[in-house]
Amino acid sequence: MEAVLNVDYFAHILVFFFIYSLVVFGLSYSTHAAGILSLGHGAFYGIGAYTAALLTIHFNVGFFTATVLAGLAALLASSFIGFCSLRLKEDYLAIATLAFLEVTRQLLYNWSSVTNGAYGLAGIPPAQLFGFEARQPVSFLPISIILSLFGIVIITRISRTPLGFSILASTDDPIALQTFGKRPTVLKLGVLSISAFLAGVAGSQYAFYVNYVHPNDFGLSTSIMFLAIAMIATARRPIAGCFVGLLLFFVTSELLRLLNFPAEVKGNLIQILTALTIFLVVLFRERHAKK
Amino acid sequence: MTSVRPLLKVSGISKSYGGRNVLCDVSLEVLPSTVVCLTGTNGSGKTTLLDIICGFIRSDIGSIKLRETEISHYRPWQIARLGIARTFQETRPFSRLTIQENLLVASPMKDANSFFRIFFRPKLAADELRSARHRVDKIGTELFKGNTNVRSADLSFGQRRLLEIARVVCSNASLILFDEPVSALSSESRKQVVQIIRTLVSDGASVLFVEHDQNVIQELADRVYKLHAGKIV
Repeated sequence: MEAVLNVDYFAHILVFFFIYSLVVFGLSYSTHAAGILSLGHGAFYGIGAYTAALLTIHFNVGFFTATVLAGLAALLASSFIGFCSLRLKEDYLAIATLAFLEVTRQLLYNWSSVTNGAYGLAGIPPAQLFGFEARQPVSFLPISIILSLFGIVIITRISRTPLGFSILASTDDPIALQTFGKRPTVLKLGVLSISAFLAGVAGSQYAFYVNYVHPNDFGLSTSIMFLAIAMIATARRPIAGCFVGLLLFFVTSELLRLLNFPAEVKGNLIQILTALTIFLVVLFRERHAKK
Repeated sequence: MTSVRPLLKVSGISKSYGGRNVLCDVSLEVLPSTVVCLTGTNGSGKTTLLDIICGFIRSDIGSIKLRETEISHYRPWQIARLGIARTFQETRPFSRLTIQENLLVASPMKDANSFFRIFFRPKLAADELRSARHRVDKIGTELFKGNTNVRSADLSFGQRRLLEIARVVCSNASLILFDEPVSALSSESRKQVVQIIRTLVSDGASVLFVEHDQNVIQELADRVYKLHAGKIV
């Protein structure tokens, strides 16, 4: 109970809440609006984290520049995978993104000369902005809130313009959409790129906040966790739905911690609950769609 | 005497599937600001011809020219950008969008439809959207009595058909292809559709439409082509 009253504990949870929010805003929008079922967002998150870590450790690049470049690196990677696979439909696209996730994780593991392999990259300095060092959770929190707001602005701006309507239409009826001069694949590629950019930015925050990155942090379980949170959202309410998903995830996760479950039980319970959430949401949506 | 150059010129189009000729040496012309009707029995190849003109199906041989541009090898979105819009035999509204949003998707917008420009040139995008909304609202008031915030999935068949037609009106296309625009519509809705097509033509657009209804053909068509077993007869 003592932990609940600790400001740093709260701030730490909130930092992760806002870091994850950035990934799931993009992921929920690409899933629900553009119909891109991505299992590869853990990879974009990881690419962002490693890019920021490497730039900072080897080239002494500042937080802001490293974060922008981390987002761009994830965007580039998504453009590549999108260009290769966006003509695939649903399950096949999901499998392609899953393959990309695994390739990325293996690359992070095995390209030891750059990524330090299984040892991970340690010694990432804390974020510094305008001479102010965000070493503690409380001091990092404003950064993660501002970047989360940045994600909200981007997704809201897109979804409320005719561009956002075209993105929805690209899933509803891509053939009819082409008769108005729109290119469904390009629209989807744009959404995937922006979504990956946000995941990359989130990854950079993770690197600067935790000061250590390891390939296992960006595997399938991370991707599935993001997807489970994003599943709660809808195409029309990507932001509100994500906040509900994030709240559910963090409240459940922290409740399990407070109830003093042993670590190995807690880990398994979270995975079971994540799978259950996906199952229930899909079931609810299927029934709702039939009505 | 000067002859009017055709807006659309289809010459010698043939298409076969597995040895079966669906279209055989089909040629037709659509002159500017005219209504051309394509009629014929079911399975005579009318919709296939529209699909070929729009780029959804490639013909085996033949040429399609819009003004002087050969478009037979173009993709559907490229052909649409050159000014050809179409409706489908089965209504195909974007079901998650409202009527107004459907019409905005169809409206030609450069700035409000670009990932780059909505962030980096927001004023241009906003101006463009404002003028498009003005036009869409006008059409919405005329056709849907201003009730344009209804999701298109919740519309009746007749309203969905009307929405499809309203979309091509919004697209500002110079040539509009209608695939059985009045089928399964009430007599009142038929009159409305006929009126819309007349207005489109008086505003300078050309129309090529597939239809069975002889009354509508007589009311609208300046020229009629009849397809039988894939050939113009």
